[in-house]
Amino acid sequence: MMVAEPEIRRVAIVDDDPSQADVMSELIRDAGYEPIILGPRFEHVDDLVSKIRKSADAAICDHRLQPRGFARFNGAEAVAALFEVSVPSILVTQYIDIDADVSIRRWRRHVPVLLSRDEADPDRILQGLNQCVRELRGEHLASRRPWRTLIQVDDTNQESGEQVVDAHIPSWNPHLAVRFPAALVPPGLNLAPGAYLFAKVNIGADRAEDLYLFDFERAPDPESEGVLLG
Amino acid sequence: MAELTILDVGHGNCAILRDDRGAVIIDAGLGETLLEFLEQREITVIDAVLISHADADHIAGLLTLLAQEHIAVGAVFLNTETLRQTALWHALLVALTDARRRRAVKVHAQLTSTSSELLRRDEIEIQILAPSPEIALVGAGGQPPGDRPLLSANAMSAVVRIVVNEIPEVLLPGDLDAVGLEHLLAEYPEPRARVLVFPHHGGRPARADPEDFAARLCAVVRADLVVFSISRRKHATPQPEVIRGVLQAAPGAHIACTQLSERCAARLPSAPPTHLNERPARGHVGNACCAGTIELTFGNATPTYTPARSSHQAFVEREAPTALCMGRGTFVGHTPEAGEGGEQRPSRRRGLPVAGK
Repeated sequence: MMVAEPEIRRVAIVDDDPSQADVMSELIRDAGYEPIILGPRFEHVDDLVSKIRKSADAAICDHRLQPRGFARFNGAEAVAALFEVSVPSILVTQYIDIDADVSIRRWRRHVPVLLSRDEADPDRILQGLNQCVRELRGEHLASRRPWRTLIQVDDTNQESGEQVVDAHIPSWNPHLAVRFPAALVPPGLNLAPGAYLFAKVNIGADRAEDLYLFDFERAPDPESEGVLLG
Repeated sequence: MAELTILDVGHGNCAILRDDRGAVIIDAGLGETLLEFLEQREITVIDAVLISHADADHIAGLLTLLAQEHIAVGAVFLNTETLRQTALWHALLVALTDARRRRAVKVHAQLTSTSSELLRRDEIEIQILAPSPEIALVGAGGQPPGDRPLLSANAMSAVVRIVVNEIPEVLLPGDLDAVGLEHLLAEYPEPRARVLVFPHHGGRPARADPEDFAARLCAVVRADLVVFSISRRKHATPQPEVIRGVLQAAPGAHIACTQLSERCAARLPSAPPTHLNERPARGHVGNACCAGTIELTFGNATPTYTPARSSHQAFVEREAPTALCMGRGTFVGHTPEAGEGGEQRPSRRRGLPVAGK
């Protein structure tokens, strides 16, 4: 078992399901931390961040916090907000396959560790919090480090009322398409099928759900700029 | 002094040659490992990038390399591929257009045996042994005169040989297959080198018999170190028949796979291996390295390399119960002869000196 970073003693649990919060509480205790279950509900993400900063050194957040009225934001947004104020935090969910592309990827740049419920055990929690601390210091794992690269838009679609982009990141995996919220792309950039964009992407990621994209820029347009393509 | 680093990029190829004049990259596989290496060695100027052929596991990294504003690439050499219609190939054409127009990268649409003179350095010679210009004119998908087999992109792989002080040191043949090998041998009957980066990651050489192909290649190259640039999780390479051919034709050679094949070990080590050098390697994640990234140093009478043969083989002995390179694995289609017992431990009569011994 890895040794915990010494500055972390109390870990806040943010979960709308009391039974899941209790399970997580035991895991955190087994990992050597003091668990603190937060609630009953939070209106704004700033309220949650403020409470965690007063009561804990780190946090583990469930992603879907809205269905039971626990919060008006989701866990990924909360973890990203905690990252901004240097609080190491892990995102946990049982909906990775469903939520990773849009509601999590929107915030994934500042979500260092994403665990599915069945992955969450004391070792993973310890390792995850240590990884968060290192990333907050600017020490990225190879799988989390962003590099500028070329991506190609396949299409734009709607998912749950939100515009999304389906694209290929050829230098990561030319055979898999990746979906992300169109809101990540600044207005004015070409999102037509076949268009190219530069973006910073963690191309060392093993799993599609771990990819994040930011700093989109225009790239040469094969149609209007004379790039001789088929 | 010069060095050649054969990066563990997973399934794919990428090597970096560094000498007093600068750096040359030969193929650029998927992922971030090349960029991490360049950063670690503080390399921001690349004289040339040589692409053996346009398969994803050889060009995807070039796409990202060209996008790095802090890295200056002087020239890119690659052959035309008129039949290739992949999205990655089209993306590379966009990236090359951008790099040529905006950053003055010289794009050479040819990498053949006549390109060698453009790549001349001081004590290092970068020879392109294949394809010949005439074969390149036929091109992938074309048929050479004389009812010869159609040329695949793999058959058209550029074969790069690094010669240091007139000694042929390293052969990097891309994904060369049996058809390509025949064209190579027609021009260079003895393409010798002390180190062979085995083509196509030890996968099948198209329709040819893998064992015969491997034995024929190793017999003419006569390498002391045979490297397989593989991923543990992709394509189940190297093929056992290929290893059998290598062991048959080069029984004293050190066989070094960048990652630990599932054919050799069902489980990965629980702790990070201690025999690896300090260079970035894709297999560092999950302790998947076997030899990991391999670095050769030239300039002395004989080259040295890390990880050392002794420590690598000790690792294989300990962690790879079915290691093909030790003759432990199941050779498909191989029936042990009487007294052979299915165990073919290669003799160690030859071999390069290694650093750190």
